[in-house]
Amino acid sequence: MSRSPSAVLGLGLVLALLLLSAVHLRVGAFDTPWSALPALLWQDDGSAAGFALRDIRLPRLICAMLVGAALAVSGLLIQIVTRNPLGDPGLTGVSGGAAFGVALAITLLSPAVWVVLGSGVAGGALAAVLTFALSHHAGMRSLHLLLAGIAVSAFFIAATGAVIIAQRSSMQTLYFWMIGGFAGKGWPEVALIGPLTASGLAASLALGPILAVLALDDTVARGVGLATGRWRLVSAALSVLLAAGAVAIAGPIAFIGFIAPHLVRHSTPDRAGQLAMRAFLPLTALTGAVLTSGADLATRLIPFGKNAPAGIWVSVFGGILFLLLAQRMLRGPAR
Amino acid sequence: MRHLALTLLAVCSAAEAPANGSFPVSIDDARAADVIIETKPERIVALSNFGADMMVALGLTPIGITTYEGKRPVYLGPSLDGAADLGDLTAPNLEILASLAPDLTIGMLHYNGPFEKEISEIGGFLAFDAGDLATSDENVTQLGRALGASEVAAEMNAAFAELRRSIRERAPQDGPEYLFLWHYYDTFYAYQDNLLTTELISSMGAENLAGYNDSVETAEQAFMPLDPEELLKFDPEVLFVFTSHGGPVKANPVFDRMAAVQNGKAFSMGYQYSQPSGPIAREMILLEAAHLLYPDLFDAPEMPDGARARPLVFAE
Amino acid sequence: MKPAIWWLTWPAGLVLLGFAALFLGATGATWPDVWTSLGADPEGQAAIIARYRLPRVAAGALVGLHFGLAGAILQVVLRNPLADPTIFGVSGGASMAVVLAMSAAIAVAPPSESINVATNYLPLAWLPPIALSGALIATAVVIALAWDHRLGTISPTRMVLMGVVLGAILNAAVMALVLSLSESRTELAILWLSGSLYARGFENLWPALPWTVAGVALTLALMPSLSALRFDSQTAQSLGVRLKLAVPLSIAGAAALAASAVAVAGPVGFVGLLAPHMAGWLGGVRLGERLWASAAIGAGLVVAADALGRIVIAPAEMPVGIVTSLIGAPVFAALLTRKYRRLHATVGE
Repeated sequence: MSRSPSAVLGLGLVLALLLLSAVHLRVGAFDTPWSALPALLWQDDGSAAGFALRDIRLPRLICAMLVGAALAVSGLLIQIVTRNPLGDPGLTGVSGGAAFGVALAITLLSPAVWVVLGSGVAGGALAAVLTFALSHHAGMRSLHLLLAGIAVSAFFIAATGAVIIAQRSSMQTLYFWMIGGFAGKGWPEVALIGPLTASGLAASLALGPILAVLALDDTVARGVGLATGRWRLVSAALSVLLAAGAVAIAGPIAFIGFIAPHLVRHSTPDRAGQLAMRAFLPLTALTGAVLTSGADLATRLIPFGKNAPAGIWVSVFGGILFLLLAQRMLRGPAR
Repeated sequence: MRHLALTLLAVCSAAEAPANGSFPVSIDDARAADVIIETKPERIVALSNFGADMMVALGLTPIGITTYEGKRPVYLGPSLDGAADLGDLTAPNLEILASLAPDLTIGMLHYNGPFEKEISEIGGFLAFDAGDLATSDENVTQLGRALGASEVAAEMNAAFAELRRSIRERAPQDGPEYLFLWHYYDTFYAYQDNLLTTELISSMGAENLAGYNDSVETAEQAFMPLDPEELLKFDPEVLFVFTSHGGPVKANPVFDRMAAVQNGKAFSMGYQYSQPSGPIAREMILLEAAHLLYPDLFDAPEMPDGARARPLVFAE
Repeated sequence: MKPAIWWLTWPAGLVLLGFAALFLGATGATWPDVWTSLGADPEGQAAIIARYRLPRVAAGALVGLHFGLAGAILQVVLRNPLADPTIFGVSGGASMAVVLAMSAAIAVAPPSESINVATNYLPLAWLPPIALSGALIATAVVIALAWDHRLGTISPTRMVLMGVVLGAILNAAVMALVLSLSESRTELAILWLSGSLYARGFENLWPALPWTVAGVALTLALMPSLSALRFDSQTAQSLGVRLKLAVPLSIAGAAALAASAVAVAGPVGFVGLLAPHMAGWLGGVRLGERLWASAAIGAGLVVAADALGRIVIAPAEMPVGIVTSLIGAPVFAALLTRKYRRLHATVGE
């Protein structure tokens, strides 16, 4: 039973996700008693409550889970590819670039969901290329990646601000766009992010054995005959696609990509790298889904001031967790 | 239509009348500080929409105006075309303001307060914040005095009170349920009855489902965020939407299920609904909303086409 | 050692640039306007230039000088060409303090009809001290977190990491606060957070000057240590540098310069990152040369960016922080790409 710790963790996460989902579906402006939930969920009785359950709460919940899973796996991939434990779509500029793409689409092109998604993914990819190019020259594995990511992120946030100001809109719009959330997300968003995230996760799982080798030293990787450069590029592209898609749909939700893989590492007795990738990846995705749907539930239950969008609780709790994990990591033997 | 003509008549007679009021006057503005205005101001900049509205109502022309969220007050018609553009209300261009050499600058404490000193030293500064009907009446009175038109201002308030009374009498007691939404990308806020726009609409027998908020300190805070499900739960008979960033509303299946949308009673409203304090804006809101609520009882008022309410459209 | 003319070119160029910037603004200017604006009692357009553009040029130069110098010092001490003086958390700390102060002002004096409303918005003049204290507190936290107890000094690696971590957290918290408070008066916070010289007068500048003097004096005093610190720590130590003292002092000096600059203008990005690289590219090889040129380039960048921001979308204004980021980032990338080999050699791993 060598895999039992991760199996226990997986079971716990699934239970947590089910519990969160149940509460998510139960809570709302329309009263939907527990006993009526299953019936309302399966068949359309024409009632507004049933509509709210099926077409408002359910897609929002699914969207939150998909985005959380995508960001979490994206963070894990970045951490593996760059061998930088602080890897996160927000810290590598991908989120900033995607947010810029979204802002550009909404203000200059069209607010249609697929245009926004395409533009967001393009922006995220551009940012990733810039970050990797900047830090590659100075050694990607070191702190340079972080600093380059911060710089690229700052650039794209400034560019988003410039787009907003050039439209003579108030800068407050920037803050709405930079925090993200799930309010108002419906089936059209799920239809876009669903296939993207699912194929991204499937591809990551398929890459599992290669990722496990990439997580080791380059010399080891080459020793087993792996073309490390090519596979790192593929993994990085996958990571960017997952993150940029998620950001384009829900906005730049901070820290999930960093937190989820570290929580999994900390919760299993196996040290990083020893946990089999085929267990690590799904566990990370599940953790991400639990984190985002939990935070979204918090925003629905506990309003954070009148104007606050949903991503605020993610930022607040994520920030605290981020600090704790980073602090622990720095004090740990790795550095 | 009759009513708008009524008040405009009063305004025209005011413009012809010799400058009334004596100077210096002491004005009680939003800073709760008495501002002394020595002589009748001639070169006036209106940083706020209320200032521009009041001036146009008095037949005066501001030499400079600002925009808010990139929008000029189209509802005031071509009378502002010659006014210099000072940029955004929250950060008016000080160089242009100084080059206009105004002797009075009308602004809002809410946005211009932090730069009160800079603005005051260019030309006398008066600040009026938006709020409910009583605030609007008081602002009209104070600014009227500052502009040497206190009697006309009093007439405006009286005429508007009379207009409200006559519409209230003709309107049914038990009007439709409605919501006024301020829309900003994925977010919707419902105005509560503390705010002038909804206070006016509710005065005509319509019922604001967002109600009145007893717990806020100022009218400015009287709004509630709504998620799509809450919107559907309210399901008002009439839906007024002001889209802050312009353009169509983002599509959401909730709208298709709402009675107001199905019955063609969902409207996208003009800029004046978000800046209702001025005498022209408030009258236009009252008359247009009366028509939208009770098309059989009230005709559509005459107003610039760009400011008119339109059926709500959605972006796919 | 460079000839005297090289040293003099920098301040001369800066003065010329500042003079040129006086021509740029929403209301235009002629030669006589600009010329008389520098004299006593200017009138008309000259008075507008003297009142609104001159202080902004001065503020831009001062802020840029602080960032340029801080960036140059920091990149030497941390031996990292990507270090920006805002990684201490100065931007995040200052922003946090400003936003917190706004909410405190509202909490202390709620906007009620019955009381004097004038007390519940913060005047612009109050922001610099608030921002400065926030920046200094955040810096102290980062330095404390980055302290290596075994070595008894600051660990550069940890410094960068903790700076990045704290910066990310503070940024997220500031966004959350701005949005949750936006029912109230946050427009000033938002304007300030984007890095702006809007409505700045000379009176906003004076409080920063003591910091300039102290920062420059400290830099001069630390020059010998800084030159040695360019090499790795063993070499530096063998050259007689007391690492335990020199590293924290240099970092504190750079942080103070950056914090006081942020206090005046808000977070102005990329200047501290870019200026030292441009200085190197333009011939600043030795440490003294590089610091001198960095300070002048930083000042010139902010002055030019602010002038550009005044005219590109007039009558609205593009905040200077956005302009420096938009221009600075691509230039920085280009410079870094051009000379990555040399960097690679000096940076090492």
